[in-house]
Amino acid sequence: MAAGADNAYAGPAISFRDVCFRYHDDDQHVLSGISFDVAAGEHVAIVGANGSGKSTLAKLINGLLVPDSGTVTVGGYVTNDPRCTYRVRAHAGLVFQNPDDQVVTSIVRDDVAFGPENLGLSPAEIVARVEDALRTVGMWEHADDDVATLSGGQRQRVTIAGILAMRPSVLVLDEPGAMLDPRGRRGIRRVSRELHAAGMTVVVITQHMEEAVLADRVMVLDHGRIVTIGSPEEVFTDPGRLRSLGLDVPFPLLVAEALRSRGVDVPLTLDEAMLEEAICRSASTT
Amino acid sequence: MPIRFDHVTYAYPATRGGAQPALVDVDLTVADGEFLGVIGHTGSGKSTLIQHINGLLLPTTGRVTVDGIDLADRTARREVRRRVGLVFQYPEHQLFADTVAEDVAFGPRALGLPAGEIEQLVITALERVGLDFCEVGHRSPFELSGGQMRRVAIAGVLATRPGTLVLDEPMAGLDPVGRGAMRELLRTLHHQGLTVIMVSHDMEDVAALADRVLVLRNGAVFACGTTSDVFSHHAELREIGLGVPRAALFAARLAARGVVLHAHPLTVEALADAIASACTSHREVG
Ligand SMILES: Nc1ncnc2c1ncn2[C@@H]1O[C@H](COP(=O)(O)OP(=O)(O)O)[C@@H](O)[C@H]1O
Ligand SMILES: Nc1ncnc2c1ncn2[C@@H]1O[C@H](COP(=O)(O)OP(=O)(O)O)[C@@H](O)[C@H]1O
Ligand SMILES: [Mg+2]
Ligand SMILES: [Mg+2]
Repeated sequence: MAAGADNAYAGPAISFRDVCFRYHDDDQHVLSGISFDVAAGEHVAIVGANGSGKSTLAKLINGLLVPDSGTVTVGGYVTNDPRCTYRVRAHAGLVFQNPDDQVVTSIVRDDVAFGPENLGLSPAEIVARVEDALRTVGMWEHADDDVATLSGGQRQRVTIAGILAMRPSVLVLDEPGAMLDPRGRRGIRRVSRELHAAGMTVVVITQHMEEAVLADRVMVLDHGRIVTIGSPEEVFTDPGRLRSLGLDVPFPLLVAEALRSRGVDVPLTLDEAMLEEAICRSASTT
Repeated sequence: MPIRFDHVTYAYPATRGGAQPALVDVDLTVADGEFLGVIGHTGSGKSTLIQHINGLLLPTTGRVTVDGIDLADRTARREVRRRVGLVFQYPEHQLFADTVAEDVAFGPRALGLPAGEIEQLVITALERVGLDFCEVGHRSPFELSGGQMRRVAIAGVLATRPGTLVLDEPMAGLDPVGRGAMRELLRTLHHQGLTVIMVSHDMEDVAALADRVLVLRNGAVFACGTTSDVFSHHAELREIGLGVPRAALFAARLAARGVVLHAHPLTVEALADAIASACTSHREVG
């Protein structure tokens, strides 16, 4: 593929410049004035209430949608240049919010091979990629199973494998755990952390703040605009503000807030160990 | 009068004679006005169990009675269906009518209630879920937000005035604001006197709402008791891969460091109360 060109490119993995988007000409903008960069190898979480524009933003990253104004660049390719469409899709893989939309055939290995087959690769290369992708998501032993017999979490990992088999350098996951139970969610989270550790750029959209705090940076969307983007410590400081943005307040912050309102002096922190320390101190100072 | 499961075993027709039954020798009593949380892994039998409460599924062996009525009795079953309202997972997927009012009226109409009464039932049911008949009654359910659609679906179940409300994962897929509102709604309905049975995989929701908790494992009852009792068995729950509320875990961590709380908090508010009182009593002593 374009691997040579990709390796030579040293700019940000994803770059949005003053992006505006709406679905219909007479509608309000769903996204407006969106500018940010994601560095290669970075792990970014996007949070925001339902309808704030997260899924729309995800589709702009892989070129399924293109901006009405402004530019989106992925791996150096401009998404609204039709000559780049193919490069953009190969570069940024998107796992949709509703996983069932993505399953195309019934046997796991065929499902994962679907994308690479459309890239026109040699059969040997396809077989190798399918095995590699299924091993990465821990589903290799299910390669010959019928997709219908899998649990929701397993199915979602197969979907991710299908994207990985395309060898993207950016992986975008749109609320990967929303339909899953906690164990299924932990499985997906583990896969995304390992991919990130292996050098992939990971953008994850989530409603779960315990997942967002694991990211290098968190972006908060509200009514189609970026309200903050920064480290989890910077973003998750003010419980009242988080609530007004329709977000959950992470557990340590909730406890700290409740204690302060009861006159116990502890820091407003995301760090559970630090909170524990402060409580032990105020409960046992002599 | 209560809901009783008496040695209930259930095997799906497709798997009879083969695999392990979906429910195994389940004994359970739910008293009037109780709020029961049902937890367990995917596949542990939660959905199968609740479909027995209104006779959608009938035990392979054993007996289910509601208010003393045996659900095996076909004519009596119709009466029970009126008393027990079942809200499926993602109930909004079943909305179908042109208007919200029509959708909510479906249940009472199916029961053959007089047309004159139906409108009032619809108005009241919508009011109970926090929706205004004049505002949304004439609208298409598909114009509403996901959280509102789910409320309409619940109103449709409440419209036949059941005494028991059974919900399968009512928070699934909602954003934090929707989840908070759903908690509030269920708490209110329970306070109005409804018996509520809620399947959930979120321990925080169960801790915040339920009086008692039933833990299913491989179709059998693993534990059943008051919420604080069940959630005090951290090790056993962890062993079967289930979590406990974060407040309980945090309290255990404090206890391990010598800060023993004079309560078993399950929610952030209860945790903060207990810590605050530990800190204050210390100050008074010291
Ligand atoms: N295909 C579409 N056509 C028209 N409007 C849409 C479409 N998809 C989303 N929208 C609207 O765009 C806004 C943002 O939606 P979305 O990006 O899905 O938000 P989120 O993922 O944060 O919930 C919402 O108001 C939604 O109704
Ligand atoms: N319609 C069905 N036919 C056959 N087996 C089923 C059916 N529905 C559920 N099962 C099986 O019954 C068991 C319990 O499933 P279920 O009650 O849906 O569990 P839960 O709601 O806890 O996830 C699982 O092993 C599941 O595969
Ligand atoms: Mg979305
Ligand atoms: Mg279920």
